Amino acid sequence: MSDDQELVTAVLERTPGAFERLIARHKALVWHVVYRMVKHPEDARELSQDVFLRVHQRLHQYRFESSLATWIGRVAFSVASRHLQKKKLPLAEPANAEEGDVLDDVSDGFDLEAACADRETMQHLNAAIDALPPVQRTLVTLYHLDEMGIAEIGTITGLPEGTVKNYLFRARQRLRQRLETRLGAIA
Amino acid sequence: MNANDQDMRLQAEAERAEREGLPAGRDPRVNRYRLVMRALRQPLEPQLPADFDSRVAELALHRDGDGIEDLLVSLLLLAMGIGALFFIGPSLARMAQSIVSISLPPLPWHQVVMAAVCIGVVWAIDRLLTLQGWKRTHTGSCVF
Repeated sequence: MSDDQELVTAVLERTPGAFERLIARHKALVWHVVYRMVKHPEDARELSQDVFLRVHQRLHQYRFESSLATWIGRVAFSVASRHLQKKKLPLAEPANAEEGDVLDDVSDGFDLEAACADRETMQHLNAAIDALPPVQRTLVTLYHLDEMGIAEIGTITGLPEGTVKNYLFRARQRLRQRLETRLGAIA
Repeated sequence: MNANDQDMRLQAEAERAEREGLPAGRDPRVNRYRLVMRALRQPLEPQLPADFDSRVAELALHRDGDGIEDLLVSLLLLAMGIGALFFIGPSLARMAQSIVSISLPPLPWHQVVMAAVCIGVVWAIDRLLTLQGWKRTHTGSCVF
């Protein structure tokens, strides 16, 4: 029996501590999805709680067709999307939105390690990540921080794989351009 | 090769270099993408509170008991609906009979109207409670 099956069975059989273990195992993913989508810490905490209560209520419907993490991620994405829709906030930009020049002249002498250690540069990048549209912000986090595959991210978000790839590409491109506005001044 | 293709190649190269933990390369464009990818791998701030797991698990267990609670509330509402109809049912039935002028088949219309209104009242009260968030809102959160 796989880890997922064992845990789900334990939760459904009301084994003491089983649901807490499930939360501990998947709370990082839920937080990443929900916080990246809604950005507001208080709302994100409340919604993360809703996600797990919903998971608890609907766990008997989980059919092991995807990993438990993907299924829970999907619940999280759906809860966060509905929250944004209720607030009439846009979820994403059109996939073909143009980003301006993609091949900027980049000066030589860029020191990767020094830039990485530079707090202000990293803060600038974090602000640029925050400024991405909710879905793009979530996709880059799932891909780079949670190390999920394109197909898995597609299942969580309900987006075709091509769209996931396109959003990832555009988001990274936009972040690199934002970085250049800062590094241009220090290069 | 167009600009997007070239950028795509740079991103792929940066991703591979990061995955393999290679030292910084000579192409500053690849290095800048590597920096972007490092920023994306940083843990999020803020985090969930430390007691999140235990608190939510406890909440979920409490909600398990809500099924019985809901059933009792529904039964109470049903009893209240029937009680209310005991008083206003006959007048409603008379009103309904006077509105319908066509000849009706020989059915106990009095009871049919009473039952329909009874179901309608119970449904409306239940709907109202749900919309007001008085049902299953011990968490103070939305019902999706």
